[in-house]
Amino acid sequence: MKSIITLLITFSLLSAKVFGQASWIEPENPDVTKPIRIYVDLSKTTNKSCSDSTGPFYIWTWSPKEHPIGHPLVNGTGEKAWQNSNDALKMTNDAAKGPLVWYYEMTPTEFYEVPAADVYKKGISLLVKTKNGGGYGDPDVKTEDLTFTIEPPKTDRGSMYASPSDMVQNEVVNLIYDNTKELNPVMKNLVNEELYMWVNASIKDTVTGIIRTFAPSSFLTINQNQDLRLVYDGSGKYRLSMIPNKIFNITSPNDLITQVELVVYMKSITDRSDGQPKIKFSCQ
Amino acid sequence: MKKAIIIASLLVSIFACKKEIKDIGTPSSKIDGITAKWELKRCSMVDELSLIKETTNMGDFFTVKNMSKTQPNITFTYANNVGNYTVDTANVLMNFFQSPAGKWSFDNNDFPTSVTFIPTGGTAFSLPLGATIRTIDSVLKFRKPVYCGSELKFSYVLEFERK
Repeated sequence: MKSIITLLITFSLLSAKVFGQASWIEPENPDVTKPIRIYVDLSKTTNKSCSDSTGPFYIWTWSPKEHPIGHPLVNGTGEKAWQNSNDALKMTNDAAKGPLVWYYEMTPTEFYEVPAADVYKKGISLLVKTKNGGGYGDPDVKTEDLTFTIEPPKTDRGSMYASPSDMVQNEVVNLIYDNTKELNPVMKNLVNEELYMWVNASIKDTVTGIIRTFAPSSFLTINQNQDLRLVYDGSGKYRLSMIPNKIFNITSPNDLITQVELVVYMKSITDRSDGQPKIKFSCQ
Repeated sequence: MKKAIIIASLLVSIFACKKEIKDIGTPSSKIDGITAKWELKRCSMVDELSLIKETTNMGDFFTVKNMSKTQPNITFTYANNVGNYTVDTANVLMNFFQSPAGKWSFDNNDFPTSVTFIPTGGTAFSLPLGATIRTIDSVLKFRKPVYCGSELKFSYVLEFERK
């Protein structure tokens, strides 16, 4: 029985990874005062009535706010609004991501005319439909309700972060280890200690789509690589400056770093930081 | 008579108090100021997306830490009204000026605020000056912005020392 449960859990996790998601937002942790794209893969929604249509498709949204009749961004117009979606809400097909992947681009605070706090608090709720969404006795042609929870920006950056916050892989990147926020008791209160940072990059070949990982040194040998030694700044923080293309040995313009995983080790490598964040590259 | 003496006294005192304006000399040529060899001394990065414009000082990355590498450098020359620059790129971790050589010019030779670089085989770009540059100045400052697409992400603040 135990093995069956394990198998089911494994399969569900695998499914989520293999079959992907039906809807998502880009960028991943957006600033809602800037443009975002809301993506929906109509081949993966639970209600697949839209997937029989060639489009175009429209969003129908009500949260954080639904626009009233007469507003230029109202969901639909006329007596039977559900059968006449507003052209201003027409989505765009992104065939590169999939034949049934459509997106709508908006700046949430401008689109909904609400403060950023409202977007973070209420999230964005919508569904996708054809221009004539059916109804009034006919079957609806729409997806299920889709809700996007957007986390507000964090003011606490944690014990490890990048500076500048948006990294460019052929420019200098500073990886900061704030020892004052270390949770591992053995690693606390380190003053001018000899520390090394293990870094592991996920690199995507934009032509083949293949993702590989690359670490300049394994954790067993990082204390022999001076390029990975952290510099103490005198205020409890340590810094590793690098040019990602050089340290991760990237020579092809097709190779893009998607994220970098970090762990800080003492020289003895017997002790390591509590945190192991994965910092994403956003400029690609 | 008394009035004449008073008036005369007033006139004498006015002219006696008049300050002699000394000639401060010819303004220092900024072209002469910049023509020299310069080597990177300090470097910091400003996160332009940060609300507080967070600055990270990483001068040792180019100077102390990488002793085996040549420090970023640039040499400005000026002849026949044409400015040329060269960069010794051997073992340089990063060339801030795109190519090993090219042309340069001020936006205003008397009161420059930026330098325009035309790298050989590259695309022209301009760097704002962090301060004026005269022959007596030992530091040349630039601010080099870095964009992703059209969005400004961060800037390098570069200080070069005259060699």
